[in-house]
Amino acid sequence: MNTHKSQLEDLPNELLSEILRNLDARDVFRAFYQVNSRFNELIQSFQHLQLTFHMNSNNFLKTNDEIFSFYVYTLIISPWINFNLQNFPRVRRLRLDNPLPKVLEQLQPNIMPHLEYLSVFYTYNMYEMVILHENVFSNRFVNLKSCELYEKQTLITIPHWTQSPSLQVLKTEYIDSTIFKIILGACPNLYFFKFYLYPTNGMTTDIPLHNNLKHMIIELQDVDWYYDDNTINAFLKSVPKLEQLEIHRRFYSQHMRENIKDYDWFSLIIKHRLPILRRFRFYFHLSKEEKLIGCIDENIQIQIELINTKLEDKLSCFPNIHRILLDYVTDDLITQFNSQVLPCLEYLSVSHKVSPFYMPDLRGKIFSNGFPNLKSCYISRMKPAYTLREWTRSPSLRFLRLNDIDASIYTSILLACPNLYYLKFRLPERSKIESNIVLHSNLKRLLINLNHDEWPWDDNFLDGYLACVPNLEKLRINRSVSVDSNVMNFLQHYDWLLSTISKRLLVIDRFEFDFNVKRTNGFTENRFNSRLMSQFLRRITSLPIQSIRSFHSFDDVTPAKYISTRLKNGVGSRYVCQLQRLTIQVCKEFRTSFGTRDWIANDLTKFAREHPYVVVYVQPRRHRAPNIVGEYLTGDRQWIPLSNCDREKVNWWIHSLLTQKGDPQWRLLKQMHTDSPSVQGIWTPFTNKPIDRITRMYPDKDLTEMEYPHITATQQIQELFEQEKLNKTS
Amino acid sequence: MAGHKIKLQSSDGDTFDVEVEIAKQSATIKTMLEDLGMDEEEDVIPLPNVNSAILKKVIQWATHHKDDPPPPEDDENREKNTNDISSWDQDFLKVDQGTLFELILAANYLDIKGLLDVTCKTVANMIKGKTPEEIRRTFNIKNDFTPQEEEQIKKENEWCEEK
Repeated sequence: MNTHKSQLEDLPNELLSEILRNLDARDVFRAFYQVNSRFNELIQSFQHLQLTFHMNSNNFLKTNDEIFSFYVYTLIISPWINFNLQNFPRVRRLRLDNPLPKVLEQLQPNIMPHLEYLSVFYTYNMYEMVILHENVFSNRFVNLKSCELYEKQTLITIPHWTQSPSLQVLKTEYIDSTIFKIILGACPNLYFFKFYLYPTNGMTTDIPLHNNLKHMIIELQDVDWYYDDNTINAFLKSVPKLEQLEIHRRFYSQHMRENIKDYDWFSLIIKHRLPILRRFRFYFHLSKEEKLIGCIDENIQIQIELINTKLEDKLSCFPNIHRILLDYVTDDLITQFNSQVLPCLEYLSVSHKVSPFYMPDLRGKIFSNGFPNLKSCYISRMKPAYTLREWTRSPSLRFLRLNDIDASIYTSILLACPNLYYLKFRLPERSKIESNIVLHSNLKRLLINLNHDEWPWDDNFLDGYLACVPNLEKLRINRSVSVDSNVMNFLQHYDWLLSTISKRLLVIDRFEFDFNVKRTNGFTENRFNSRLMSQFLRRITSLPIQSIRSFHSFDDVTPAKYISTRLKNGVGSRYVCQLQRLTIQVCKEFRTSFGTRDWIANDLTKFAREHPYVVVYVQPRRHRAPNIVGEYLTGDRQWIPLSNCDREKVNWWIHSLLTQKGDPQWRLLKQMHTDSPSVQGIWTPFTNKPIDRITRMYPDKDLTEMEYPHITATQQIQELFEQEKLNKTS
Repeated sequence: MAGHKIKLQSSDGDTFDVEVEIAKQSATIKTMLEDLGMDEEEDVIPLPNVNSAILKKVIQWATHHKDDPPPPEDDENREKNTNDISSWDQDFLKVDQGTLFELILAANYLDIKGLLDVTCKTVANMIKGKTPEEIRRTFNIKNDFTPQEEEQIKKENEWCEEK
């Protein structure tokens, strides 16, 4: 066990920075300046060194503050502080809250040449602001990347702005179309733009196209819905390369609900203006004072509707949608829902909120290959096909999760999805598969939830379900039972699907049975559980090993494995092929040998040439099945039947024999493995013996001599005999 | 799926059953689950950089904070505040220094932003207002300056002594 305790110095520099960024520059320097050389270096190159000046902080700049003022990266200055910016030449981020004109005046490119992020909040207009705007938008701050300008009025337009190519992020308040036009012109590389739409009239028409803006956030506070849309339309016209758009609308009108009803949520505009939009978010902020709180349900309804109208936009605007989660659907949406609109759909989830009225239509599309790329699907409300014709086939579907189903749905699903790999469902009632068992060969995983109390008689109907899927590899059954039903009595004699599994599922690899006991009243839980468990485990162990290769349930048994080669036989040039002799038994006429004959005709000579160390015999046997027999260096022999194997398969088996070690296949039901091999190593005859044995010359006289006990048995008897004699004589 | 669990394995081999929603607070585990598509319950996620004692604490923290709203977006320009640690977290972090630093390392490795934040703030609070001498004593940091340099430093540092 590691007893070393971590210390502050053990932390890497990134984490130390993470800690230090919670501290003010004063604290950082007071604590760490000259503690040791590592910290000195760290704090002097510290990217997040931040200094805040408050109104009430009494430590105004003192003379010695230059020690760290030089290193300050981030500077925050509270409102109305008189302040000298000249001490901070390396500032990257500057935030000014209602600065004094005197301070703002100092904000010049020569004083802060490295400035990258600037945010200024102010409430009054002053001439210094105008100068600042000019500086910002005329590329005086060469490194400025991001700029926030918050004021209570619109930005003052300056006729002689030039361009500012460095600016990429801009957040401001209150903009109208004229200013929008000027800003786009002034910032050709703008990437992110956030603004409040200024409620004003008059649209500038000739806004030039801006090709770099990708992300835009617009805040609206206007009451007039339809008017806004026109305005936004004009805004969006000039930014065709937009990828993300967010619109926040705050609305305080009584007629809101009427407006929402037949509002098209920009779908027309977006379709026309923004061909490559990836994400569109519409936030609808409700104020708390509104009377809507009383009808929360209705509110939620509105939200959901909103989400889906959003989705509607997406359906028409974005043909490459891959995942869709349907919560609530409208008529409009469902009519749009087809493979022409959604050619790439891979994942679809339909929740139970979707009205059952639409479901037959939707299911028909899903299970009749309506979406050729659909791979995975979740449907909460499932009903069988009404007619047999309704569903055709959907070969793309591989994963399917369902809620409650019954036997008829089960069979129709197996018929409709020939390539299904994973199926999960719940059986609410006992519905038995009556006749016409379909065989589905591709289903490998099956998950069944059962939670009714009648038990254990449902095994025979499960039998029908399992008989349909002979190639199942993993089966999991979740069953919950409440204790007060008289289930417990049956547990003792229950065989845990033993007969069904061993009969129906021949290749099953894992069977899990999760058993949940619901305790409704205070029962004698412990005793019950332990008895139940032991019973359960005993039953499990009685399952035949052939059918259950490994078992995962209440305890953690490691999965069974084959002995695997460690691939060390190829190291260096010492590889010795273990296969020595290969005998191929084949019939010249019978159909079962067709692949083997094929292989002999085409691949045998090549194989023999490539592997000269293997002797190959071909042994014709009339009218019998083909085999291969490999004989190995160790004397082991492997025999493999090749009936009906095609050429490829035969080739595969022959190479399998060629590359293996040849010892019989052991299946390890438990893996024994140690991470800490013993210190003394493997036992040898010299282990725990005196070391001088190595140095002796053999044969050694001392060692060959027998070590006798003090008195041998013969001597002892002789002694007794002597004593006897003495006794007699005396 | 509520109650759906996954197994996490610490560096000393102990496994912990954790609900997916709780484990997903760690961005590392979250991306692991999503990218590798591990939705089978039997998969064990090994965490070789975290020992059992620390992992237990991390899980405890994550369980308590599972319903927290996602943290607000990082604003570089916001003012720093180290006093907004909740009282539960304060109690939770009343541990020895070693454990605290291991928690930082674990939070960083597992990429749990909230935990990293709160632990860093705790350390920051320990640092606040201390002189270099006190810092050296508290955190057991060696001084690698020569006496001459030391003298120089003292002179330079007079400014920050509170008057």
